[in-house]
Amino acid sequence: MRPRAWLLAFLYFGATATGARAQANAAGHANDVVMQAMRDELARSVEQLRLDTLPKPYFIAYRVAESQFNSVAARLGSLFGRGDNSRTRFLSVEVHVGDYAFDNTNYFGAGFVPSSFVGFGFMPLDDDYQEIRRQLWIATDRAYKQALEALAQKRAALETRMRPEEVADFSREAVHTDTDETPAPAFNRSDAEALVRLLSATFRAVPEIYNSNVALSSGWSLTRYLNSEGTSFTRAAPRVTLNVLANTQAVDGMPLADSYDVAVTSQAGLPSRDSLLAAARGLTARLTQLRQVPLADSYEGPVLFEESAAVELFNAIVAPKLIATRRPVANPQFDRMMASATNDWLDLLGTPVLPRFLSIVDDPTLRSIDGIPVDAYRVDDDGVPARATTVVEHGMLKTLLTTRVPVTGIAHSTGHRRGTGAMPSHVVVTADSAMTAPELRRKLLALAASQGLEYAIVVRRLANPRATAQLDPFAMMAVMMSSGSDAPRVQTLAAFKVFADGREEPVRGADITGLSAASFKTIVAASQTRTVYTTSLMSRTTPFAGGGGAGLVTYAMPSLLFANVSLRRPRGGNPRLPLVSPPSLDAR
Amino acid sequence: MTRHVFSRWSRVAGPVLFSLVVASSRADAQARAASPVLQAMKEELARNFAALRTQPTPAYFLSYEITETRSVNINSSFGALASSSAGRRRVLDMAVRVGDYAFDNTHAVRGQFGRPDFFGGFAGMAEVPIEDDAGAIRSILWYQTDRQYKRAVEQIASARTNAQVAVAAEDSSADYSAAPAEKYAEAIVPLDVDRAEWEKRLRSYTAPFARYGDLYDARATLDASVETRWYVNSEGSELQLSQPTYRLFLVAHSKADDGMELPRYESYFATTLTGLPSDEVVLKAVDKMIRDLHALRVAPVIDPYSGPAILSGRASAVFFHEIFGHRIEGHRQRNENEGQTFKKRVNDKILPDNFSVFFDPTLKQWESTQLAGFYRYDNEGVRARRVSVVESGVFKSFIMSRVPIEGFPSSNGHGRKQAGFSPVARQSNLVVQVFQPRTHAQLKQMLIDQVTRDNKPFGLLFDDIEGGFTITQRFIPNAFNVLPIMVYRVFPDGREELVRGVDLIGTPLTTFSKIVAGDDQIATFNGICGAESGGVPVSASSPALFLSQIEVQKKLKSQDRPPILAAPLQQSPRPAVPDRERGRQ
Repeated sequence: MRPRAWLLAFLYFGATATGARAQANAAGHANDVVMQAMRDELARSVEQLRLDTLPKPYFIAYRVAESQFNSVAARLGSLFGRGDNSRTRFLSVEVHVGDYAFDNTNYFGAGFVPSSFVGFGFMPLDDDYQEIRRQLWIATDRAYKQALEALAQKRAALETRMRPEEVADFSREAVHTDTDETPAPAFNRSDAEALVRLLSATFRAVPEIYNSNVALSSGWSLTRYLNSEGTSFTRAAPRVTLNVLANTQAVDGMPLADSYDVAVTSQAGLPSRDSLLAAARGLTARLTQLRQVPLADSYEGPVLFEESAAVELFNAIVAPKLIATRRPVANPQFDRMMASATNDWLDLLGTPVLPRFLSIVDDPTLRSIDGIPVDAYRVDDDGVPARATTVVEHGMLKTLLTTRVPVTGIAHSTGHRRGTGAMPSHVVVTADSAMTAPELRRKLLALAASQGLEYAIVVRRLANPRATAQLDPFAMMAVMMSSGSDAPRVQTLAAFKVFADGREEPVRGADITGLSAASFKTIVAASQTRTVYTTSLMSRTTPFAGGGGAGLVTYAMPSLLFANVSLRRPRGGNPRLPLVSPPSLDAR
Repeated sequence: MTRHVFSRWSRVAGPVLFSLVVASSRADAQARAASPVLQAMKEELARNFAALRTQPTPAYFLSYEITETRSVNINSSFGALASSSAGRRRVLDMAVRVGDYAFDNTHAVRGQFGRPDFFGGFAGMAEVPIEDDAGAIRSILWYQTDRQYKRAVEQIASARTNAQVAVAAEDSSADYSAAPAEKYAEAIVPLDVDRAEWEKRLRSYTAPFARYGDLYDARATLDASVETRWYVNSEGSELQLSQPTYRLFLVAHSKADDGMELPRYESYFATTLTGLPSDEVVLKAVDKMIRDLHALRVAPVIDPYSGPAILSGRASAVFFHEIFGHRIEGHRQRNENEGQTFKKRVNDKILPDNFSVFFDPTLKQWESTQLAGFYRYDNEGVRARRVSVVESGVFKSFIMSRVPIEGFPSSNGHGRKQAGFSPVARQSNLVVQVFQPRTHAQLKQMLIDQVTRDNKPFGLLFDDIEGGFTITQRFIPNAFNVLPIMVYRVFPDGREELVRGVDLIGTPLTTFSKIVAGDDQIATFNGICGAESGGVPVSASSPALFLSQIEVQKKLKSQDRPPILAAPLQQSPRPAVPDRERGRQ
């Protein structure tokens, strides 16, 4: 087996390979060089990979994610520097030893390396069969050795401890094949540059906006997947996002930041130039008006969360509860940490978690919602077919979103693996007995009156920690630290006092305190109209516990009326206003 | 604890011809006019400084630096393209100082961990548009200046309180020194790399490695960049500087049967693309790397050892950078967590009489090799100059940023940083000179004589090294570590045998006292030196040295065995491969 034996033959191969390198993205799965190399190395590994007398792998999966990413960004009409079309091919290898009931996964301890960090590597951009095989070989070898070690450590940890969940480590799923090789859409850089210039230049005329940024990115990925059970897929996923960010300070110094975000599947699918301009101007108007708005007083009573505010609230508090997380076997020193990473909704399966009139379905296969195109997938990252999953039916919790890692009470994958764990994708919340806007408002005022309140509160926009973070690296730390809490800090950006005579008065910056997932059971009404809105979800579980990460989630949700919410006047000093006036800018 | 890693050294092989002079003189005419970027910076600085100097806590110094980096980065692995990208970015750094030169907001707060400005350097960084739009640039300068000024006001309040409660500082020097206003503008160097051509070349550099199943990693990287800096400060300095850098790295790894990782590196530095070596030279180096790796796989492992050794010029250069260079960086002499090995040694004899050491950032080359540590002005707007640090064996000077220390009240042009960091004293081009040098043969004879005298079985010859690191702080022992790749044991009969498995270690003063002689073969390392102000390009040049005693310790070793299955090289693709692929077999 020493290399010298076949040296001559290979020299010839190497010489011609450079000259006749195939183009990327072969049409069709069967002719694909990358897939062929994956098939051949997988077959060899299944047949031969074994260290001495230690167990052979019972499951091996290869995933090669090829992506192209383009982005442009501008400030005040002037472009930022960005890298050009950066293309990458990223490999991850999963090796399981043991059996479906008990294997090397779902373990955390000293010497542990998360599975997603083990068999990874960069694959060549060239369709070079030999080099792809070589990278697969090295990564498989590393993942297998690590799996053996993890299995031994896991067994050792269980010598003295109970297994936290007496369920299988890995679920058996039907073999499935799928092909979607929609090619990468062309990126029109000059259009993109013109658009971000145009939108960002709108802030030139507004000295009250201190810092702003407009970014457009276009990404496309093609994932190739193959496992030793026979499941394989190719899956193309295009994504175009546009983000307009701006910040300022209120006259009392309170930092104010907000964004306008669009996520679509092609550059052509972006809203029209005029509607984007209107959105950027709307953002500017909202922030500049807010500067003068008085601070909210403390308040206990009914609150109507409208449109995006309802979505953001749900996204911050309820969405993380939809994800099943497996509590891993851990060494004693890590056990407590692992316990805190679990999801308490797992214990609520079969019990009410929302009012009877609300239901939640997640359906990754939807290609559009209310006429708005959204990115869809047919198979998840494990090759499990995606389908509509009813998570909550008439208030009752039916299941959680899972991967092939079972949890107590949920034995199979719902086809929701995105990245290292399960993630929602398109969350549709429906209300059986929905109200028209005037009915909802009457209900709100009636509730306030019954509690003897002079006014009720409508929240139209929550504070946007992501916008703050993107313009300020300091704030990013705070956002990262607060995510992962059961009752994350939520603040209103645009809220209104509504009086019995219909009059509205804006208030600024109320802290919403004490609102948890359980509070959603006290929702008293929902609107007939629903809002389709995409935002990013930071999963609370760490990759160490086999959980999610961050990703975009599209929601279709009604406005939500809560009977009783506590708002508090924010405490703490604000930074002073700028000491020097902003430089005067020529209009563009 | 700070680890000062000195890695990614690169060697320049043979004489390098370059045409920088020609290129810049052609572009000179167009560039002399101040760029609109510089103009916008100047105006916004004047406007902000005028307002901030009259605040209750007045600013006394303000500087802006915008660094534009244009780059091309191409990687290949075993004959295939691994990545290829190009980019252009501008980053803003600024310094806002409140108080006065004697005591300002940067004054060390002693005896406290977790200072409130822990992320201070990071938060000061902002991205700037790449278009020369004065309005957009000024608006960012204004926004960031306001934030940095407010931070500085908070910092000085806590520094003043700390100065009252803590014991008197050992070094009572001022916090900052004034520097003369400098005006200089040079042509902005274009970056012109034919990417398709270089992708092809890099593929060919790593293709030979693909023949071998016992090489587990083989990559070639081209890093081409032009860094253009615009700097203005409230003392009146205005600088426009533009510097091209081209680096080519080769790295390959094998593994011994006992699991030991065996790396082999090769790298080249030049200030023009044509200054990089020809394909023929690179491919020759690739062959040598493969031969060395195969020799290393079967080389015997040696045990920890103490005895005489020769350090090649390359090894000696890194050795001086770690053991000495990092310890004479001025700012470390006032940080009371630092070891301060040489603080009280000014005018003491620390090396043999015939040794001198200097730092000279104005040198573009030494002997026939281009130097990576060349610059005209440092990151604090101070003109670069030669600093003689050891004269005839006697220690004379530290390398200084604008932060003074006892006896060294001003900068000597070594305040350096990577974009996005705050400058501190850093090395430039280090040169070790030996007068009345020995020949290589004489040095080897000295080694053999010493081995015989000490009754040792062998001496060591450190030829190639990958880099090194050192710890200069007091928390843990003040040691250095040089990571050799090619080490030979030299027997009393003159025979040399390749060995593996050891790192060269030691403590600075003891090891310095063991230096006996140097030869006449100057070698230069060009590399990126990493420390608290980021990665900065530096060089070190030295002859080979003979030391009467050194110590080696066992290398950190991977416990992973070589791969279980043989490399998948002998298996050809199955017939399902499309026609265009089948044609390759």
